[in-house]
Amino acid sequence: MSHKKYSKNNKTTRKRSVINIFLYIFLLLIYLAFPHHYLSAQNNIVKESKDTAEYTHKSIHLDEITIFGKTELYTESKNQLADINKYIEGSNSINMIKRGAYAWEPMINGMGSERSNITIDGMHIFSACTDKMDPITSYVEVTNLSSVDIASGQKGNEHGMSISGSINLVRKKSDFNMKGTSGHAFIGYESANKQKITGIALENSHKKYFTDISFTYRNAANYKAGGNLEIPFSQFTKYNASAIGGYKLTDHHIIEGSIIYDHAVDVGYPALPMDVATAKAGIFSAQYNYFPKDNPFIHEWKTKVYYNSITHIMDDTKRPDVPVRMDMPGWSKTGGFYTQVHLKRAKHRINAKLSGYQNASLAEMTMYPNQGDEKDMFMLTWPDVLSSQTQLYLRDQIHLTSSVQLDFSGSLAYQHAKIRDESGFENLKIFYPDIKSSNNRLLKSLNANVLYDFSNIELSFGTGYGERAPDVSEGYGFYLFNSFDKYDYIGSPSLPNETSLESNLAISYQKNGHSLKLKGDYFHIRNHIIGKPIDGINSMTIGAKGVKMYTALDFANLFSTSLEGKVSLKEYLKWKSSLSYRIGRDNEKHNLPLIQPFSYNSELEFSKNQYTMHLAVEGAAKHKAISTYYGESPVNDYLLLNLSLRKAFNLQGYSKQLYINVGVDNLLDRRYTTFADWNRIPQMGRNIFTNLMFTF
Amino acid sequence: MKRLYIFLIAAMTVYLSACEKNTEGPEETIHSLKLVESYEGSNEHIEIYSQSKTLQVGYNKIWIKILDKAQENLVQVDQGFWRPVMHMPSMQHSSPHSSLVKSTDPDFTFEGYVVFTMASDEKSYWELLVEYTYNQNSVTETIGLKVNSLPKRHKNVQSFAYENEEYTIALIDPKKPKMGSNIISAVLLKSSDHEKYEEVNGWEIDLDPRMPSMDNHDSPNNKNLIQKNDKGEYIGTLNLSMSGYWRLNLKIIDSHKNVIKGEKVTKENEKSSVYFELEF
Repeated sequence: MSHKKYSKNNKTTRKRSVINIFLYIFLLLIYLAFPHHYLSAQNNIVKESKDTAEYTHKSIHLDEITIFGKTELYTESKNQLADINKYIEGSNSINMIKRGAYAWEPMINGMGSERSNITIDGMHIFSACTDKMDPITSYVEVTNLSSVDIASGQKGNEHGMSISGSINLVRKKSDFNMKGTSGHAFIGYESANKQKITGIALENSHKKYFTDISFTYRNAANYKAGGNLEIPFSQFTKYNASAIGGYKLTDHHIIEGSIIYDHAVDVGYPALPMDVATAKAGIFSAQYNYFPKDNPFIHEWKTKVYYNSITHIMDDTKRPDVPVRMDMPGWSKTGGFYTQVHLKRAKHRINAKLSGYQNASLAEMTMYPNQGDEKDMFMLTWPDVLSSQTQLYLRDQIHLTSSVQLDFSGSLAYQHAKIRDESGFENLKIFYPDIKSSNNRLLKSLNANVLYDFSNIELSFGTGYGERAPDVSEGYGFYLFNSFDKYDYIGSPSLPNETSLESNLAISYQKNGHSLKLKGDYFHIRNHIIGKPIDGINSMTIGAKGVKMYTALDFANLFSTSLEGKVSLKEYLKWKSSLSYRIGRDNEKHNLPLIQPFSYNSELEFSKNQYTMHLAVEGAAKHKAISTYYGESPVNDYLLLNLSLRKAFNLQGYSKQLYINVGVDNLLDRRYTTFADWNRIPQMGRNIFTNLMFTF
Repeated sequence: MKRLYIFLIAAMTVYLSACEKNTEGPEETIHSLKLVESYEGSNEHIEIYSQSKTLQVGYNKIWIKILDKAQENLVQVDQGFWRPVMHMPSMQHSSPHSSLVKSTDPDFTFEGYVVFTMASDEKSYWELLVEYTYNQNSVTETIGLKVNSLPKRHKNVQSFAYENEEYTIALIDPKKPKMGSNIISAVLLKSSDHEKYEEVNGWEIDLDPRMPSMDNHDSPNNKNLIQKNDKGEYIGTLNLSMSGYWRLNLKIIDSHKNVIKGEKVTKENEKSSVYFELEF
């Protein structure tokens, strides 16, 4: 009975959202149908937009930007067919929480996904899993992307209101460059989990239009941890297809449409009591770019409308022994828009953006009683929460002199959240008899940075203030079992906004191909949202220790620092090393959970005659600052040795290349776990990878 | 430029209009009582009403109309009395019930409640004996009633003995339980002879709802049943965090705070000896 009701609800939500999207597109078309008065002119848009890119990404040495480039993405990496998780993990700002081999959850500056924003080309997408088994990064493939822009703290306020920062996954697309058809195809195998990878990407570029399509398939069995220990329920299969097309209406007007369809099936989560039967995402967008001619101020005007829908079916059908069978599906649908203009005026580079989105999140739990004729037990774990946010963002980069730049940005957002499901609302009233079904919040963010760029030294320092609203679980979650600390979590609808005061410093020195970079980020977070046990209330989940309610701590402090060095030993030999460390404590000096201990990696890169070889060590010290208070268990130190080799072959002159890549991760087959491994599941043991890529 | 503004304004309008809530009207329930049984007396016509079309095991609130032969007007009657009787092949007995009082609703003559302790079947049947004075004549009518059984896992009445008296506790609400907070109400009656029943006042009923199929987990913030009005009903708060089968474990506590029936639920003791059941 209940099932029907909710699926009906979903349908109406979906219908409404689809109608909205059609309206957006319709309006866009109406707009585009107007006659264009100022056609003509041979302005070079491509060049201009490149300027913007360069200019936006100035101070590239100090910001964390993983640039995949076009195909270079593969050339930079040790394992050219590694999944996106491994690429992102390469950033010093990021740690990945691992619940298995699939869908790692990125943490920025030691803070989980509830404190960050993950967007795709600026589009808001929200996970549909109550247990964080589907971070947005799990719905894309490297073939979809050209870069991952990681912004720390309030430097990421363009992409939404957050505390820890933002990850914007930038969609890969061709230019209007008349290159005709090109592309690449790849195939690979990894030994530790018998992972088979194959895919193809085709790009078609003309003067007036381009179309890119790609397809990637991954299939993996259970992986083996060090010492040949098979980790059951760590398998996965993933299909990803994407298409993007652009059409140049005139030299000043470009329209683009993009689709990503990602479908994962039979995904195991060894660190959790449940797996995922299917996780599906459809991500759609239409964009309009306007490059005015001879406009002294407006440099570029981008407008985008989008819609995405995620269905996440979590169940435990494959687990042999469970006290009671259960299904926990979740849905998340988001529609939104943004319009963004880049202005240039004298020393000012202004970026203004108006954006809005609406997200509906609903998750259910159905438990099947062991007594056959009893009715199913059903509840809503996310009570169909509709969150709407409108955000205005402004940034001004002021080039005071050729070497000094000021960077100010601010965001103001209005958020409305409403519980749409009556029974979910009634359930929350068990805990909060006086709550209202909706609430409004005004969220603010400010950031100020100063950048000195001397010949060899680059220095950046700044400060920021940000606020965020609780996410759906923190605000409205109902008996969400957290297998990390074994508590059921209850959301608190009237939590205050979490606020953060941050300061950051980065300094880099470069000379003759050598470089050294030191970076530090400090966050003082007020109303820090975390679960605290409540007495006298018993858990619902069988085997749970009790119930935690999300509460706002007075404050918590987090500090992250990293040191990176690069040395060019010879023209063909480079040595690269990095150290990183974080501390996180609450107001009572308890350690916060999932904070990275002292970690390091060091690698030698040898490249000559189209051979590239990497020899790397990575490891971490014993995690002493574990958070026993918040349910964390100890972690030992580890040291891994990785090796990889890559060779490029030019075929038919230089028009086609074949890349052969072999390597071994965890060469010594160590059995190890890191601080970010959920329930301390051992990570992959010796993994030999081999793959081939053919570009044409 | 102008067109861009128009577009933006239009896009914002769509966005904002999409924000508007789409509320569906709540289900309208028209409160009306249903005719359960009509009976042709010698001089009058008697109609028995309840909240549903049928009577069932447990607490049943009953309204009675005593009409003239034309079935048009209520007749003026004096004090009434009633007694439900269960006829079984080997014995007959009554059932806990309130006294029959003049109805507060002008459309009805009498009202009261009966707690049926068992269902009718082929061999056993219920009769309701109704007595009243009409035109200075004492009238006694016996009306046959059909009492339906309850589905499995819907126990809503339980009797137990204590100090030579038989006590009966019967669930009134929730009739249609929902997820979230429910008002729970019950009546507690006692009898020493299985004929005359009286309501027990000033006691307390401890409530501990559990889900036996989920390791007997409970629900938070329930409130014990106490008498809040002069109708004799015990009223409390029942929180049901999910749908399914719930066992509402009870403890009957007298006015001296002595537990006279029921046990605490623990890991070892799965249920109290006095409980109700719900499944939805």
